[in-house]
Amino acid sequence: MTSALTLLMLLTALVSLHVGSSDIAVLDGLWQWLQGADSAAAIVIGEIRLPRTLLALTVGAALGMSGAALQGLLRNPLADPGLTGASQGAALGAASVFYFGLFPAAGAAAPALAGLIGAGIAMSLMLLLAGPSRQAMVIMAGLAISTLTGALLAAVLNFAPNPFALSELVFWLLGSVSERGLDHLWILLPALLLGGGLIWSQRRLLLGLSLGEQVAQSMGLSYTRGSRLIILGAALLVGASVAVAGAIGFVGLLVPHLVRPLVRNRPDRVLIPAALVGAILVCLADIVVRGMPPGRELKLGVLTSLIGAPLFIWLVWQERKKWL
Amino acid sequence: MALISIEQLQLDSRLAGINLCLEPGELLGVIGPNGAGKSSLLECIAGLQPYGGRIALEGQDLSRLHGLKRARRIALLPQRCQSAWALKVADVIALGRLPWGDEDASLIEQAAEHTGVAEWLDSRVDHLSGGEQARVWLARVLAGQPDIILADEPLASLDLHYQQRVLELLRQHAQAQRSVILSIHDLNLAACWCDRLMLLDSGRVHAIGTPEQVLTPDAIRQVYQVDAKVDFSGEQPLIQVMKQVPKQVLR
Repeated sequence: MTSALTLLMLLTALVSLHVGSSDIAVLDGLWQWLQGADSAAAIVIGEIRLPRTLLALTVGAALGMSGAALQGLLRNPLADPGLTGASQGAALGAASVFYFGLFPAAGAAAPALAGLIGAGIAMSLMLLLAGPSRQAMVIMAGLAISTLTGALLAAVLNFAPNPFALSELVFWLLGSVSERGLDHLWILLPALLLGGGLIWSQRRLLLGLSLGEQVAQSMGLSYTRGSRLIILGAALLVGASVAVAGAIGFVGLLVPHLVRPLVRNRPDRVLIPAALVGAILVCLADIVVRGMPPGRELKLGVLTSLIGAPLFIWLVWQERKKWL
Repeated sequence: MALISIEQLQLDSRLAGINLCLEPGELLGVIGPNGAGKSSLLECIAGLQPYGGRIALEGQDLSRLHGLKRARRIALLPQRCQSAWALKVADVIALGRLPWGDEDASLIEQAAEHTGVAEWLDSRVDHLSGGEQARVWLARVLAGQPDIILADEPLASLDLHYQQRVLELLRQHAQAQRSVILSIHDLNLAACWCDRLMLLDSGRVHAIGTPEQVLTPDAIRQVYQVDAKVDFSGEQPLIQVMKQVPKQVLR
Protein backbone atom coordinates (compact mmCIF):
# COMPACT_ATOMS: atom_id res chain seq x y z
CA MET A 1 0.00 0.00 0.00
CA THR A 2 2.88 2.35 0.80
CA SER A 3 4.25 1.82 -2.69
CA ALA A 4 0.83 2.55 -4.24
CA LEU A 5 0.62 5.79 -2.25
CA THR A 6 4.20 6.70 -3.23
CA LEU A 7 3.28 6.19 -6.87
CA LEU A 8 0.19 8.34 -6.42
CA MET A 9 2.32 11.03 -4.81
CA LEU A 10 4.76 11.01 -7.73
CA LEU A 11 1.86 11.26 -10.17
CA THR A 12 0.42 14.20 -8.23
CA ALA A 13 3.84 15.86 -8.29
CA LEU A 14 4.05 15.36 -12.05
CA VAL A 15 0.59 16.89 -12.54
CA SER A 16 1.61 19.77 -10.27
CA LEU A 17 4.66 20.44 -12.46
CA HIS A 18 2.39 20.57 -15.52
CA VAL A 19 -0.12 23.05 -14.11
CA GLY A 20 0.60 26.72 -14.66
CA SER A 21 -0.18 29.76 -16.73
CA SER A 22 2.39 28.99 -19.45
CA ASP A 23 2.46 25.83 -21.53
CA ILE A 24 5.84 24.20 -21.01
CA ALA A 25 7.30 20.76 -21.68
CA VAL A 26 7.95 19.63 -18.10
CA LEU A 27 10.62 16.98 -18.53
CA ASP A 28 12.44 19.10 -21.07
CA GLY A 29 12.38 22.12 -18.77
CA LEU A 30 13.51 20.01 -15.81
CA TRP A 31 16.41 18.60 -17.83
CA GLN A 32 17.44 22.06 -19.00
CA TRP A 33 17.28 23.38 -15.43
CA LEU A 34 19.41 20.51 -14.13
CA GLN A 35 21.99 21.34 -16.79
CA GLY A 36 21.97 24.95 -15.67
CA ALA A 37 20.43 26.30 -18.89
CA ASP A 38 18.99 29.82 -18.91
CA SER A 39 15.90 29.11 -21.01
CA ALA A 40 12.37 30.19 -20.08
CA ALA A 41 11.31 26.56 -19.57
CA ALA A 42 14.22 25.93 -17.20
CA ILE A 43 13.39 29.00 -15.12
CA VAL A 44 9.64 28.29 -14.93
CA ILE A 45 10.14 24.66 -13.92
CA GLY A 46 13.27 24.97 -11.77
CA GLU A 47 12.62 28.27 -10.05
CA ILE A 48 8.83 28.32 -9.74
CA ARG A 49 6.98 25.04 -10.17
CA LEU A 50 9.53 22.60 -8.73
CA PRO A 51 10.04 24.47 -5.41
CA ARG A 52 6.30 24.99 -5.12
CA THR A 53 5.54 21.32 -5.74
CA LEU A 54 8.28 20.07 -3.43
CA LEU A 55 7.21 22.48 -0.69
CA ALA A 56 3.57 21.41 -0.98
CA LEU A 57 4.65 17.76 -0.71
CA THR A 58 6.96 18.27 2.28
CA VAL A 59 4.53 20.54 4.15
CA GLY A 60 1.75 17.99 3.61
CA ALA A 61 3.97 15.09 4.66
CA ALA A 62 5.10 16.91 7.80
CA LEU A 63 1.55 17.81 8.80
CA GLY A 64 0.14 14.36 8.04
CA MET A 65 2.80 12.52 9.99
CA SER A 66 2.75 14.86 12.99
CA GLY A 67 -1.04 14.51 13.20
CA ALA A 68 -0.84 10.72 13.12
CA ALA A 69 1.88 10.71 15.79
CA LEU A 70 0.09 13.06 18.18
CA GLN A 71 -3.25 11.31 17.82
CA GLY A 72 -1.48 8.03 18.58
CA LEU A 73 0.37 9.46 21.56
CA LEU A 74 -2.66 11.17 23.08
CA ARG A 75 -4.93 8.29 22.04
CA ASN A 76 -7.35 10.90 20.83
CA PRO A 77 -8.55 10.93 17.22
CA LEU A 78 -9.43 14.61 17.49
CA ALA A 79 -5.95 15.77 18.53
CA ASP A 80 -4.48 18.41 16.24
CA PRO A 81 -0.74 18.96 15.74
CA GLY A 82 -1.29 22.60 16.66
CA LEU A 83 -1.83 21.35 20.22
CA THR A 84 1.89 21.45 20.97
CA GLY A 85 1.86 25.26 20.68
CA ALA A 86 4.43 24.92 17.91
CA SER A 87 2.31 26.36 15.11
CA GLN A 88 1.41 29.52 17.04
CA GLY A 89 5.05 29.87 18.08
CA ALA A 90 6.15 29.57 14.47
CA ALA A 91 3.57 32.15 13.39
CA LEU A 92 4.77 34.56 16.08
CA GLY A 93 8.41 34.05 15.09
CA ALA A 94 7.65 34.71 11.44
CA ALA A 95 5.47 37.71 12.28
CA SER A 96 8.32 39.24 14.27
CA VAL A 97 10.38 39.24 11.08
CA PHE A 98 7.80 41.36 9.31
CA TYR A 99 7.67 43.68 12.29
CA PHE A 100 11.25 43.93 13.50
CA GLY A 101 13.02 43.02 10.26
CA LEU A 102 15.00 40.20 11.89
CA PHE A 103 17.61 38.16 9.97
CA PRO A 104 18.01 40.49 6.98
CA ALA A 105 20.83 38.27 5.71
CA ALA A 106 18.45 35.33 5.24
CA GLY A 107 16.41 37.27 2.66
CA ALA A 108 13.11 35.66 1.70
CA ALA A 109 13.78 32.73 4.02
CA ALA A 110 13.93 35.00 7.10
CA PRO A 111 10.29 34.39 8.21
CA ALA A 112 10.84 30.65 7.94
CA LEU A 113 14.04 30.77 9.97
CA ALA A 114 12.46 32.96 12.66
CA GLY A 115 9.38 30.73 12.59
CA LEU A 116 11.47 27.66 13.30
CA ILE A 117 13.10 29.42 16.25
CA GLY A 118 9.68 30.60 17.47
CA ALA A 119 8.34 27.03 17.25
CA GLY A 120 11.37 25.79 19.17
CA ILE A 121 10.90 28.31 21.98
CA ALA A 122 7.14 27.71 22.24
CA MET A 123 7.68 23.96 22.33
CA SER A 124 10.41 24.17 24.98
CA LEU A 125 8.16 26.33 27.14
CA MET A 126 5.34 23.84 26.68
CA LEU A 127 7.54 20.86 27.66
CA LEU A 128 8.82 22.81 30.66
CA LEU A 129 5.29 23.63 31.76
CA ALA A 130 3.92 20.11 31.17
CA GLY A 131 6.77 18.52 33.15
CA PRO A 132 7.16 14.77 33.39
CA SER A 133 3.46 14.20 33.82
CA ARG A 134 0.53 12.70 32.05
CA GLN A 135 -0.68 13.31 28.54
CA ALA A 136 -3.57 15.52 29.65
CA MET A 137 -1.00 18.03 30.88
CA VAL A 138 0.55 18.21 27.40
CA ILE A 139 -2.79 19.39 26.03
CA MET A 140 -3.21 21.91 28.87
CA ALA A 141 0.34 23.21 28.55
CA GLY A 142 0.09 23.35 24.75
CA LEU A 143 -3.14 25.31 25.03
CA ALA A 144 -1.61 27.70 27.57
CA ILE A 145 1.45 28.39 25.40
CA SER A 146 -0.72 28.67 22.26
CA THR A 147 -2.86 31.26 24.03
CA LEU A 148 0.22 33.20 25.13
CA THR A 149 1.82 33.19 21.68
CA GLY A 150 -1.58 33.98 20.14
CA ALA A 151 -1.86 37.04 22.39
CA LEU A 152 1.65 38.17 21.46
CA LEU A 153 0.85 37.63 17.78
CA ALA A 154 -2.25 39.80 18.16
CA ALA A 155 -0.06 42.46 19.79
CA VAL A 156 2.37 42.33 16.87
CA LEU A 157 -0.54 42.73 14.45
CA ASN A 158 -1.95 45.55 16.57
CA PHE A 159 1.28 47.53 16.44
CA ALA A 160 2.11 46.77 12.80
CA PRO A 161 4.25 49.67 11.52
CA ASN A 162 2.07 50.32 8.46
CA PRO A 163 -0.99 48.88 6.69
CA PHE A 164 1.23 47.26 4.09
CA ALA A 165 3.18 45.31 6.74
CA LEU A 166 -0.12 44.29 8.34
CA SER A 167 -1.64 42.93 5.15
CA GLU A 168 1.61 41.20 4.20
CA LEU A 169 1.63 39.53 7.61
CA VAL A 170 -2.01 38.48 7.48
CA PHE A 171 -1.66 37.06 3.97
CA TRP A 172 1.44 35.17 5.03
CA LEU A 173 -0.42 33.69 8.00
CA LEU A 174 -3.23 32.44 5.73
CA GLY A 175 -0.85 29.81 4.43
CA SER A 176 0.59 29.29 0.98
CA VAL A 177 3.44 27.55 -0.83
CA SER A 178 3.66 30.09 -3.67
CA GLU A 179 6.47 32.60 -4.12
CA ARG A 180 8.90 30.46 -2.18
CA GLY A 181 12.19 29.09 -3.38
CA LEU A 182 14.35 26.05 -2.87
CA ASP A 183 16.03 27.79 0.11
CA HIS A 184 12.77 27.26 2.01
CA LEU A 185 13.01 23.59 1.23
CA TRP A 186 16.45 23.45 2.84
CA ILE A 187 14.83 24.63 6.08
CA LEU A 188 11.88 22.25 5.86
CA LEU A 189 13.63 19.11 4.65
CA PRO A 190 16.04 18.64 7.61
CA ALA A 191 13.12 19.29 9.99
CA LEU A 192 11.05 16.68 8.14
CA LEU A 193 13.84 14.10 8.29
CA LEU A 194 14.73 14.77 11.93
CA GLY A 195 11.16 15.10 13.21
CA GLY A 196 10.01 12.13 11.14
CA GLY A 197 12.96 10.08 12.36
CA LEU A 198 12.21 10.87 16.01
CA ILE A 199 8.59 9.82 15.58
CA TRP A 200 9.47 6.71 13.56
CA SER A 201 11.88 5.59 16.29
CA GLN A 202 8.96 5.54 18.76
CA ARG A 203 6.46 3.65 16.59
CA ARG A 204 6.45 0.67 18.95
CA LEU A 205 5.51 2.95 21.82
CA LEU A 206 2.61 4.28 19.74
CA LEU A 207 1.40 0.72 19.19
CA GLY A 208 1.86 -0.21 22.86
CA LEU A 209 -0.06 2.89 23.94
CA SER A 210 -3.17 1.55 22.18
CA LEU A 211 -3.92 -0.33 25.41
CA GLY A 212 -2.89 2.53 27.71
CA GLU A 213 0.23 3.83 29.41
CA GLN A 214 0.26 1.09 32.02
CA VAL A 215 0.34 -1.70 29.44
CA ALA A 216 2.95 0.11 27.33
CA GLN A 217 5.21 0.55 30.35
CA SER A 218 4.72 -3.02 31.50
CA MET A 219 5.93 -4.11 28.07
CA GLY A 220 9.25 -2.43 28.74
CA LEU A 221 8.60 0.73 26.71
CA SER A 222 9.72 4.02 28.22
CA TYR A 223 6.68 6.26 28.17
CA THR A 224 8.22 9.43 29.58
CA ARG A 225 11.22 9.47 27.25
CA GLY A 226 9.30 8.20 24.24
CA SER A 227 6.44 10.67 24.56
CA ARG A 228 8.90 13.56 24.82
CA LEU A 229 10.61 12.40 21.62
CA ILE A 230 7.28 12.14 19.81
CA ILE A 231 6.20 15.62 20.94
CA LEU A 232 9.60 17.00 19.95
CA GLY A 233 9.35 15.36 16.54
CA ALA A 234 5.78 16.55 15.96
CA ALA A 235 6.65 20.09 17.05
CA LEU A 236 9.62 20.13 14.67
CA LEU A 237 7.40 19.01 11.80
CA VAL A 238 4.58 21.44 12.54
CA GLY A 239 6.85 24.31 13.49
CA ALA A 240 8.91 24.00 10.32
CA SER A 241 5.90 23.69 8.05
CA VAL A 242 4.11 26.68 9.60
CA ALA A 243 7.36 28.62 9.51
CA VAL A 244 7.72 27.97 5.78
CA ALA A 245 4.14 27.95 4.53
CA GLY A 246 1.99 29.61 7.20
CA ALA A 247 -1.04 27.87 8.66
CA ILE A 248 -2.34 25.01 6.48
CA GLY A 249 -5.30 23.94 8.59
CA PHE A 250 -6.92 20.57 9.18
CA VAL A 251 -4.40 18.45 7.22
CA GLY A 252 -2.76 17.06 10.35
CA LEU A 253 -6.12 16.47 11.97
CA LEU A 254 -7.93 14.76 9.10
CA VAL A 255 -5.30 12.82 7.14
CA PRO A 256 -4.80 10.13 9.83
CA HIS A 257 -8.55 9.45 9.70
CA LEU A 258 -8.42 8.84 5.96
CA VAL A 259 -5.47 6.47 6.33
CA ARG A 260 -6.46 4.49 9.42
CA PRO A 261 -8.91 2.10 7.69
CA LEU A 262 -6.12 1.16 5.25
CA VAL A 263 -3.78 0.02 8.04
CA ARG A 264 -6.28 -1.80 10.28
CA ASN A 265 -6.27 1.22 12.61
CA ARG A 266 -2.74 0.45 13.83
CA PRO A 267 -1.13 3.63 15.20
CA ASP A 268 2.38 2.44 14.28
CA ARG A 269 1.52 1.64 10.67
CA VAL A 270 -0.39 4.86 10.08
CA LEU A 271 2.70 7.11 10.16
CA ILE A 272 4.24 6.72 6.68
CA PRO A 273 0.91 6.45 4.80
CA ALA A 274 -0.29 9.57 6.67
CA ALA A 275 2.81 11.43 5.49
CA LEU A 276 2.22 10.30 1.90
CA VAL A 277 -1.51 11.11 1.90
CA GLY A 278 -0.77 14.49 3.53
CA ALA A 279 1.72 15.23 0.77
CA ILE A 280 -0.76 14.19 -1.94
CA LEU A 281 -3.64 16.23 -0.49
CA VAL A 282 -1.70 19.46 0.05
CA CYS A 283 -0.19 19.17 -3.43
CA LEU A 284 -3.66 18.55 -4.92
CA ALA A 285 -5.10 21.51 -3.00
CA ASP A 286 -2.28 23.68 -4.34
CA ILE A 287 -3.09 22.49 -7.87
CA VAL A 288 -6.71 23.56 -7.30
CA VAL A 289 -5.51 26.95 -6.02
CA ARG A 290 -3.45 27.44 -9.18
CA GLY A 291 -6.39 26.34 -11.34
CA MET A 292 -8.60 29.13 -9.99
CA PRO A 293 -9.44 31.99 -12.37
CA PRO A 294 -6.84 34.78 -12.29
CA GLY A 295 -7.35 37.62 -9.86
CA ARG A 296 -6.77 37.61 -6.16
CA GLU A 297 -5.28 34.21 -5.26
CA LEU A 298 -7.20 31.91 -2.92
CA LYS A 299 -4.67 31.00 -0.23
CA LEU A 300 -3.87 27.33 0.20
CA GLY A 301 -4.51 27.46 3.96
CA VAL A 302 -7.93 28.98 3.35
CA LEU A 303 -8.85 26.24 0.88
CA THR A 304 -7.76 23.39 3.20
CA SER A 305 -9.74 24.97 6.04
CA LEU A 306 -12.83 25.41 3.86
CA ILE A 307 -12.69 21.73 2.90
CA GLY A 308 -11.42 20.51 6.25
CA ALA A 309 -13.86 22.22 8.59
CA PRO A 310 -17.01 20.42 7.31
CA LEU A 311 -15.10 17.13 7.44
CA PHE A 312 -14.13 17.91 11.02
CA ILE A 313 -17.75 18.63 11.92
CA TRP A 314 -18.67 15.26 10.40
CA LEU A 315 -15.96 13.59 12.50
CA VAL A 316 -17.23 15.18 15.70
CA TRP A 317 -20.70 13.98 14.74
CA GLN A 318 -19.41 10.42 14.27
CA GLU A 319 -17.62 10.56 17.64
CA ARG A 320 -20.78 11.85 19.30
CA LYS A 321 -22.82 8.98 17.91
CA LYS A 322 -20.44 6.55 19.61
CA TRP A 323 -21.40 7.92 23.01
CA LEU A 324 -25.14 8.17 22.46
CA MET B 1 15.40 -21.16 43.38
CA ALA B 2 12.46 -18.84 43.92
CA LEU B 3 11.21 -17.29 40.70
CA ILE B 4 10.51 -13.97 42.39
CA SER B 5 11.85 -13.00 45.78
CA ILE B 6 10.80 -9.78 47.45
CA GLU B 7 12.54 -8.33 50.48
CA GLN B 8 11.26 -5.42 52.51
CA LEU B 9 9.31 -3.89 49.64
CA GLN B 10 8.28 -0.31 50.33
CA LEU B 11 6.12 2.04 48.23
CA ASP B 12 5.41 5.46 49.79
CA SER B 13 2.40 4.99 52.08
CA ARG B 14 0.91 2.15 50.06
CA LEU B 15 3.19 -0.80 50.85
CA ALA B 16 5.50 -1.51 53.77
CA GLY B 17 7.82 -4.38 54.65
CA ILE B 18 6.52 -6.89 52.11
CA ASN B 19 8.47 -10.15 51.88
CA LEU B 20 7.57 -12.89 49.42
CA CYS B 21 9.04 -15.90 47.64
CA LEU B 22 7.18 -17.01 44.51
CA GLU B 23 8.01 -20.59 43.60
CA PRO B 24 7.98 -21.99 40.05
CA GLY B 25 4.66 -23.58 39.14
CA GLU B 26 2.80 -21.64 41.79
CA LEU B 27 -0.50 -19.78 41.51
CA LEU B 28 -0.34 -17.17 44.25
CA GLY B 29 -3.49 -15.25 45.14
CA VAL B 30 -3.21 -11.75 46.57
CA ILE B 31 -6.30 -10.88 48.59
CA GLY B 32 -7.32 -8.00 50.80
CA PRO B 33 -9.84 -5.17 51.02
CA ASN B 34 -9.95 -2.24 48.61
CA GLY B 35 -6.86 -0.05 49.05
CA ALA B 36 -4.88 -2.84 50.76
CA GLY B 37 -2.11 -2.51 48.15
CA LYS B 38 -2.83 -5.47 45.83
CA SER B 39 -2.51 -3.50 42.59
CA SER B 40 0.48 -1.53 43.94
CA LEU B 41 2.31 -4.78 44.66
CA LEU B 42 1.73 -6.07 41.13
CA GLU B 43 2.74 -2.71 39.65
CA CYS B 44 6.03 -2.79 41.58
CA ILE B 45 6.85 -6.25 40.22
CA ALA B 46 5.84 -5.12 36.70
CA GLY B 47 8.27 -2.20 36.94
CA LEU B 48 5.59 0.51 36.89
CA GLN B 49 6.37 1.99 40.30
CA PRO B 50 9.65 3.18 41.80
CA TYR B 51 9.91 1.11 44.98
CA GLY B 52 12.15 0.73 48.00
CA GLY B 53 13.55 -2.64 49.03
CA ARG B 54 14.53 -5.41 46.66
CA ILE B 55 12.71 -7.48 44.08
CA ALA B 56 14.75 -10.23 42.42
CA LEU B 57 13.93 -12.41 39.43
CA GLU B 58 15.76 -15.74 39.90
CA GLY B 59 18.25 -13.93 42.11
CA GLN B 60 18.83 -11.06 39.69
CA ASP B 61 17.91 -7.57 40.90
CA LEU B 62 14.84 -6.52 38.90
CA SER B 63 15.69 -2.81 38.98
CA ARG B 64 18.92 -3.55 37.10
CA LEU B 65 17.18 -5.53 34.40
CA HIS B 66 16.49 -3.70 31.14
CA GLY B 67 12.79 -2.87 30.64
CA LEU B 68 12.38 -5.05 27.55
CA LYS B 69 14.19 -8.01 29.14
CA ARG B 70 11.98 -7.73 32.20
CA ALA B 71 8.88 -7.51 30.01
CA ARG B 72 9.84 -10.72 28.18
CA ARG B 73 9.69 -12.61 31.49
CA ILE B 74 7.02 -10.74 33.47
CA ALA B 75 3.73 -9.67 31.92
CA LEU B 76 0.99 -7.57 33.48
CA LEU B 77 -2.69 -8.12 32.82
CA PRO B 78 -4.13 -4.86 34.17
CA GLN B 79 -7.40 -4.48 36.00
CA ARG B 80 -9.03 -2.36 33.32
CA CYS B 81 -8.10 -2.63 29.69
CA GLN B 82 -9.45 -0.82 26.67
CA SER B 83 -8.12 -0.29 23.20
CA ALA B 84 -8.00 3.33 22.08
CA TRP B 85 -8.29 2.25 18.45
CA ALA B 86 -10.60 -0.22 16.75
CA LEU B 87 -7.83 -2.82 16.41
CA LYS B 88 -8.34 -6.34 15.08
CA VAL B 89 -8.10 -9.09 17.69
CA ALA B 90 -5.00 -10.47 15.91
CA ASP B 91 -3.27 -7.08 16.25
CA VAL B 92 -4.15 -6.84 19.95
CA ILE B 93 -2.65 -10.28 20.58
CA ALA B 94 0.39 -9.29 18.50
CA LEU B 95 0.96 -6.48 21.03
CA GLY B 96 2.13 -9.19 23.42
CA ARG B 97 5.13 -9.72 21.13
CA LEU B 98 6.26 -6.08 21.47
CA PRO B 99 8.99 -6.84 24.04
CA TRP B 100 10.39 -9.41 21.60
CA GLY B 101 10.22 -7.08 18.61
CA ASP B 102 8.48 -9.63 16.38
CA GLU B 103 4.94 -10.57 15.43
CA ASP B 104 5.36 -14.35 15.38
CA ALA B 105 2.16 -15.51 13.66
CA SER B 106 2.32 -19.06 15.07
CA LEU B 107 2.60 -17.83 18.68
CA ILE B 108 -0.26 -15.38 18.12
CA GLU B 109 -2.45 -18.15 16.71
CA GLN B 110 -1.43 -20.48 19.52
CA ALA B 111 -2.38 -17.89 22.17
CA ALA B 112 -5.69 -17.26 20.39
CA GLU B 113 -6.52 -20.97 20.25
CA HIS B 114 -5.51 -21.45 23.85
CA THR B 115 -7.90 -18.75 25.02
CA GLY B 116 -10.63 -19.71 22.54
CA VAL B 117 -10.60 -16.46 20.57
CA ALA B 118 -9.21 -17.89 17.30
CA GLU B 119 -12.52 -17.44 15.49
CA TRP B 120 -12.44 -13.68 16.11
CA LEU B 121 -8.86 -13.02 14.96
CA ASP B 122 -10.17 -10.85 12.14
CA SER B 123 -12.90 -9.13 14.17
CA ARG B 124 -12.59 -5.73 15.76
CA VAL B 125 -11.90 -6.01 19.47
CA ASP B 126 -14.42 -3.27 20.31
CA HIS B 127 -17.17 -5.38 18.72
CA LEU B 128 -16.68 -8.19 21.26
CA SER B 129 -18.49 -8.51 24.60
CA GLY B 130 -16.72 -7.79 27.89
CA GLY B 131 -16.13 -11.50 28.58
CA GLU B 132 -14.78 -12.11 25.09
CA GLN B 133 -12.51 -9.10 25.39
CA ALA B 134 -11.15 -10.38 28.72
CA ARG B 135 -9.95 -13.49 26.92
CA VAL B 136 -8.34 -11.38 24.19
CA TRP B 137 -6.41 -9.34 26.80
CA LEU B 138 -5.26 -12.63 28.32
CA ALA B 139 -4.27 -13.95 24.90
CA ARG B 140 -2.15 -10.82 24.44
CA VAL B 141 -0.27 -11.64 27.62
CA LEU B 142 0.12 -15.34 26.72
CA ALA B 143 1.52 -14.50 23.25
CA GLY B 144 4.56 -12.99 24.97
CA GLN B 145 5.23 -16.38 26.64
CA PRO B 146 6.18 -14.78 29.96
CA ASP B 147 7.44 -16.82 32.92
CA ILE B 148 5.29 -14.83 35.29
CA ILE B 149 1.83 -13.39 34.72
CA LEU B 150 0.64 -10.67 37.08
CA ALA B 151 -3.15 -10.66 36.76
CA ASP B 152 -4.81 -7.73 38.49
CA GLU B 153 -8.41 -8.63 39.27
CA PRO B 154 -9.00 -10.29 35.91
CA LEU B 155 -12.38 -11.61 37.04
CA ALA B 156 -13.97 -8.24 37.74
CA SER B 157 -17.10 -7.74 35.60
CA LEU B 158 -17.00 -11.31 34.23
CA ASP B 159 -19.91 -13.73 34.49
CA LEU B 160 -19.50 -17.12 36.18
CA HIS B 161 -18.66 -18.94 32.95
CA TYR B 162 -15.89 -16.54 31.94
CA GLN B 163 -14.55 -16.42 35.51
CA GLN B 164 -13.99 -20.18 35.37
CA ARG B 165 -12.47 -20.01 31.86
CA VAL B 166 -9.96 -17.30 32.85
CA LEU B 167 -9.03 -19.12 36.06
CA GLU B 168 -8.50 -22.38 34.13
CA LEU B 169 -6.14 -20.59 31.75
CA LEU B 170 -4.17 -19.01 34.59
CA ARG B 171 -4.01 -22.36 36.39
CA GLN B 172 -2.69 -23.99 33.20
CA HIS B 173 -0.03 -21.32 32.91
CA ALA B 174 1.19 -21.79 36.48
CA GLN B 175 3.04 -25.02 35.80
CA ALA B 176 6.65 -26.22 35.62
CA GLN B 177 8.83 -23.11 35.55
CA ARG B 178 5.96 -20.65 35.16
CA SER B 179 3.96 -18.88 37.83
CA VAL B 180 1.03 -16.53 38.22
CA ILE B 181 0.28 -13.87 40.80
CA LEU B 182 -3.42 -13.19 40.84
CA SER B 183 -5.10 -10.34 42.66
CA ILE B 184 -8.64 -11.41 43.49
CA HIS B 185 -11.60 -10.31 45.60
CA ASP B 186 -13.68 -13.50 45.66
CA LEU B 187 -12.37 -15.49 48.62
CA ASN B 188 -14.13 -18.71 47.56
CA LEU B 189 -12.48 -18.65 44.14
CA ALA B 190 -9.17 -17.68 45.75
CA ALA B 191 -9.37 -20.65 48.15
CA CYS B 192 -10.42 -22.98 45.36
CA TRP B 193 -7.83 -22.14 42.71
CA CYS B 194 -4.73 -20.73 44.42
CA ASP B 195 -1.83 -22.76 45.84
CA ARG B 196 -1.04 -20.06 48.36
CA LEU B 197 -2.66 -16.82 49.44
CA MET B 198 -1.18 -13.54 50.61
CA LEU B 199 -3.60 -11.47 52.68
CA LEU B 200 -2.78 -7.77 52.55
CA ASP B 201 -4.12 -5.15 54.93
CA SER B 202 -3.24 -1.45 54.69
CA GLY B 203 -0.10 -2.15 52.68
CA ARG B 204 1.23 -4.85 55.01
CA VAL B 205 1.17 -8.64 54.85
CA HIS B 206 -1.40 -9.87 57.36
CA ALA B 207 -0.88 -13.54 56.58
CA ILE B 208 0.69 -15.74 53.93
CA GLY B 209 0.32 -19.47 53.42
CA THR B 210 -2.10 -22.10 52.12
CA PRO B 211 -5.74 -20.99 51.81
CA GLU B 212 -6.57 -22.97 54.95
CA GLN B 213 -3.84 -21.23 56.94
CA VAL B 214 -4.74 -17.74 55.74
CA LEU B 215 -8.53 -17.76 55.55
CA THR B 216 -9.44 -18.13 59.21
CA PRO B 217 -12.56 -16.47 60.66
CA ASP B 218 -10.28 -14.35 62.85
CA ALA B 219 -8.19 -13.07 59.95
CA ILE B 220 -11.29 -12.28 57.91
CA ARG B 221 -12.84 -10.42 60.85
CA GLN B 222 -9.68 -8.41 61.51
CA VAL B 223 -9.03 -7.46 57.88
CA TYR B 224 -12.51 -7.19 56.37
CA GLN B 225 -14.47 -6.41 59.56
CA VAL B 226 -17.08 -9.06 58.75
CA ASP B 227 -17.90 -12.37 60.41
CA ALA B 228 -17.48 -15.41 58.21
CA LYS B 229 -17.97 -19.15 58.42
CA VAL B 230 -15.07 -21.05 56.96
CA ASP B 231 -15.29 -24.70 55.96
CA PHE B 232 -12.36 -26.55 54.40
CA SER B 233 -13.71 -30.04 55.13
CA GLY B 234 -15.85 -30.43 51.99
CA GLU B 235 -14.88 -31.12 48.41
CA GLN B 236 -14.43 -27.39 47.87
CA PRO B 237 -13.53 -24.76 50.44
CA LEU B 238 -16.49 -22.63 51.49
CA ILE B 239 -16.27 -19.15 52.92
CA GLN B 240 -19.62 -17.73 53.89
CA VAL B 241 -19.96 -14.18 55.11
CA MET B 242 -22.51 -13.90 57.90
CA LYS B 243 -25.30 -11.39 57.44
CA GLN B 244 -24.61 -8.31 59.54
CA VAL B 245 -27.59 -7.10 61.51
CA PRO B 246 -27.51 -3.29 61.90
CA LYS B 247 -27.20 -2.20 65.52
CA GLN B 248 -30.29 0.02 65.29
CA VAL B 249 -32.45 -3.03 64.60
CA LEU B 250 -31.00 -4.83 67.63
CA ARG B 251 -32.15 -2.01 69.89
